[in-house]
Amino acid sequence: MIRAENLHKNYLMGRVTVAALKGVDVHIHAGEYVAILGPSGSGKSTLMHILGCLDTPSSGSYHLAGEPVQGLSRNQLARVRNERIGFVFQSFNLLAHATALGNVELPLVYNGSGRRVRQERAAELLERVGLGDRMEHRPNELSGGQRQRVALARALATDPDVILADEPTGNLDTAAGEEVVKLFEELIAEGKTVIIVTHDLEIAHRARRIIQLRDGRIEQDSSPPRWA
Amino acid sequence: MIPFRHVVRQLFVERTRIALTVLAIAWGTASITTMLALGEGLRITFARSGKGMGEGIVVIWPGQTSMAYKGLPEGQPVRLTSDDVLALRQAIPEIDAISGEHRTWLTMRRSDRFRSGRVHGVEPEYGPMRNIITEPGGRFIDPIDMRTRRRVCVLGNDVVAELFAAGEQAVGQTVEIDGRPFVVIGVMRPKFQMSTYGGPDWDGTWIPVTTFEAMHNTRFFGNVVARPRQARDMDRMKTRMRQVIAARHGCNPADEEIVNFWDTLEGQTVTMNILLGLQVVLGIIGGLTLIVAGVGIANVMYVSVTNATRDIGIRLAVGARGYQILGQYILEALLATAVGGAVGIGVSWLLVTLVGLIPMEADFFRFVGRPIPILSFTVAIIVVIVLGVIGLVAGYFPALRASRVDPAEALRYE
Repeated sequence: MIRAENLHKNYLMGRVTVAALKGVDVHIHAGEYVAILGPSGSGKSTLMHILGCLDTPSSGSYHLAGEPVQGLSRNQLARVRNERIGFVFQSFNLLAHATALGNVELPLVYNGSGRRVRQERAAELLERVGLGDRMEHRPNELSGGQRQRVALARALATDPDVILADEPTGNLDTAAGEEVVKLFEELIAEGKTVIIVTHDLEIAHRARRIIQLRDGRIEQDSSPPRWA
Repeated sequence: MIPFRHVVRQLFVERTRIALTVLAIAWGTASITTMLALGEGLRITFARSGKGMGEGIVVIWPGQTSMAYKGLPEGQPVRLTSDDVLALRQAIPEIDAISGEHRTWLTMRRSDRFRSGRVHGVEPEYGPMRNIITEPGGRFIDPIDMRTRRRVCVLGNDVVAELFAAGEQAVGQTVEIDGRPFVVIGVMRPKFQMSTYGGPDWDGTWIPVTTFEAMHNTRFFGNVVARPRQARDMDRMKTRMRQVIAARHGCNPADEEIVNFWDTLEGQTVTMNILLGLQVVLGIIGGLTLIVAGVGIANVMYVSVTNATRDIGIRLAVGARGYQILGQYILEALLATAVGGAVGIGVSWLLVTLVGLIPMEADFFRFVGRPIPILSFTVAIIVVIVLGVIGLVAGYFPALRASRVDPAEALRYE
């Protein structure tokens, strides 16, 4: 599903070039449940942004579902994000002024779905994440866990192959975080590819594979200890 | 593209942000159009009342010689009669209309109502020249009245109001002027009049020159009124008139004192210049207000789109194309402009209507008329378009920038 080779990413901070990724190879198969682990500054967010086509690498090659991603235009990348990738962020990134339903509909607005299709699909997904009775609520009327479930429903709107989650439980209490992790595990059972970026070992160990990053390089890529 | 309804719904969702833009455009539109409407009302009022005494006419008063000439000493009065008027009409092709005018104060009576009134002896051409238009059912003095010295009169509207009961039909009735019965043939339609000589026309009474001369045994006009065919003939006509009069009375043709002219065209030029100045000043104020409003709108638009950078990042992350983001903000600016413009024009219309309803009672308004503000839709549309374009440009650049940054960066924006 994901085949990224020799990824480099350099940022220009003032006059100094900072290398966030220094040659990272990532191969992830369809249906894998992967955690990318690392301390802050290790380059894990950068890696996630590149894997999610939110950002482009300075060099290296990246194939998503067999198709090369490097060299695509901004609009083509937007299309890839829309069709193939669903995002879940630590800070939820919901439109503050839109209802839960409106937020879940958003990806469908940009793939040209009709109004009725959008509303039906969004309602169905909100039911699925257990928010059938919260559709007309705004984000500020929802708890953190509910917000993250709205974000997850949004990530699933266009039925993408890959779910990318950046510290999805970072702003949640344990119980709410657990609910969200359970939803990820359901998705795995359905054959989706789920990639979680975290620095929380406990969350990481729920995944079947952990990629550890340090200073822009992969330090370790392994299956977790088999205590589970 | 992006569904129109989604954008419209978004407008309602982001009420405060849009409301500010709409308010800014409405405020700008309303203040500029209202101000220009007041100015335009003033201009039209003055332009109209400036023509009340007659348009492009000259009033000629007989004077006296200031140079001795061929045995005629200086200081000799020059007196004008119907023969002079006839000679002027025949000798000067530039004259479009001309009439001699006698004037005196006489007692008028109708049954038990008396009044001391200003009575003018004039010729048929006087009425149209002096903008004395009769109410329907009446007429001004005609050539037959002149020939047969009929005892007929045209009354100013105030004279009618004093001699007749309210609603009473004056035309066809008889009034007594200086003890003699006169049939009323016309009543002057009310008008505004800024300039007068002798008094305003609503106080006047007009009878045929011939009748006047028979009653008073006089031939010498107080003044003559004339109008050239075209405004540019005015100076030539005046020169020729003085020459003809000088020749008929044996005066020096170079003597400027034998007749005095009041050329109302000169006054009109001054008035037009003042009004032009007024318009220029209002235009400048309007332009400055437009700039101030434009800066306000630009500011609101810039801040609101900049604040939306994170939302733009979210939209980009879920797959919005750059042009869809731009399209949304452009559509938004256009809708805000349309709504703001409509509200602004509505408010302006309301203000203008309210100002028009303010009762203004003052003698001044009898002469110039009440200034009624006039809303110009051309101005309103121009203002809305200018403000809309300013808003669009101000919103376009931050939206363009936001749609071009990497979504990862836009999402990082706090």
